[in-house]
Amino acid sequence: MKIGTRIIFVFLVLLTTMLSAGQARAQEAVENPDVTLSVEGLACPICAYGLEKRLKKIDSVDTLSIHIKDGEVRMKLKEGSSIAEEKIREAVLDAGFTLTGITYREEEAGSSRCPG
Amino acid sequence: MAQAQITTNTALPVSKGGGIFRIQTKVLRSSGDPTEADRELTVLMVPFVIVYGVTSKLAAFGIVPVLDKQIRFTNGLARTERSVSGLGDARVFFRYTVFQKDARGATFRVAPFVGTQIPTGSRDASDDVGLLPPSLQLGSGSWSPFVGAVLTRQTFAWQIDVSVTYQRNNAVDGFRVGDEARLDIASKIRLFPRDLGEGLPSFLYANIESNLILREKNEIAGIRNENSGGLVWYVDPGFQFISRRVVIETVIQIPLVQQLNGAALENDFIFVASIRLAF
Repeated sequence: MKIGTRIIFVFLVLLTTMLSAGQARAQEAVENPDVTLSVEGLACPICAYGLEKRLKKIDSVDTLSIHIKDGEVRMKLKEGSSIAEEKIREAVLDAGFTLTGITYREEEAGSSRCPG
Repeated sequence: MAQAQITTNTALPVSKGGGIFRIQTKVLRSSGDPTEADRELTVLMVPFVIVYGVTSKLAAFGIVPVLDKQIRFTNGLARTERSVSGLGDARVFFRYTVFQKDARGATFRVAPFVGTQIPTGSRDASDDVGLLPPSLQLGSGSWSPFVGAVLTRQTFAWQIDVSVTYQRNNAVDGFRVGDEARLDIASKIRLFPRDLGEGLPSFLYANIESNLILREKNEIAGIRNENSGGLVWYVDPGFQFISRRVVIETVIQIPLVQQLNGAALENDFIFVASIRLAF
């Protein structure tokens, strides 16, 4: 089964490549986040990747980390920038999850709850 | 939807603009031929799967398998081997999430899907002996539509996916593969980490899947082939390692029930190894 051997070889090469790609940009925890999102529906690591991708497309987002146990996304914004709630809401929705709250670090009354 | 099954593709999770590339290796072994031919069939199948999130609710799927089929049988006194390899029939389908209820660390989703098999596989392959029989050909030659639905309930600790599919197979040049109905149930429990802790840890699951497949008899020139079709029920233990972008998974499909018609070959097992990359 010559083609079988070739296929298994290709499979192993792809496995190595994909593992390398997958580990290449591991998340680093964000300390003192500017914005914290409460997200429902997050229950596995690979599902969270779609959310991470959507949020990182927002210009003002510098870094973020997802904390699956707490259902939280902690984001650091770029220096001097702000973020529109509408963009956050759209990104979470596009990723297929439910946004239930946004908390801003520097605002006294900067916590908002989103309707379910 | 969620981390999804190993033996099927219907619940693969994808966000808008995101995608998943999955490559699987499946090895099927069939023997136990009740006839004197003592046939032994080995099929190596490598499906390449691409999933793309058109919107947050609509996902497009494409599956292209590469096949290597080999059959050994007794012909008179000699043991004969016939084999073929190449592209099999592709499949495309669309899934739309019609119901979604999220909670912290949990989700429940229901999504119907519709698609078709595309006759990309050759159905006129031959070897030194001549034209290969239909069961050994790489493709069916028919555009075969299918419909179904998948239901997913997922928490941090466990998940269950239930998928039902019905495929209508059309006749080509007088040969028609029997229609197929299947019920696929995939369940898993998280083994590692015991405590989720901070951040986004990788998960290791123990999986049990089940595939109940009912096939009609094939038809040749309108006459049913009594040695085809039947019911098979697999139970599939396996493991799944899930990180932020990569999934590595393996399962062995063990046929617990095989009520096959006539002299149809029974499956001994199907081994599946699979890797996924989110992009």
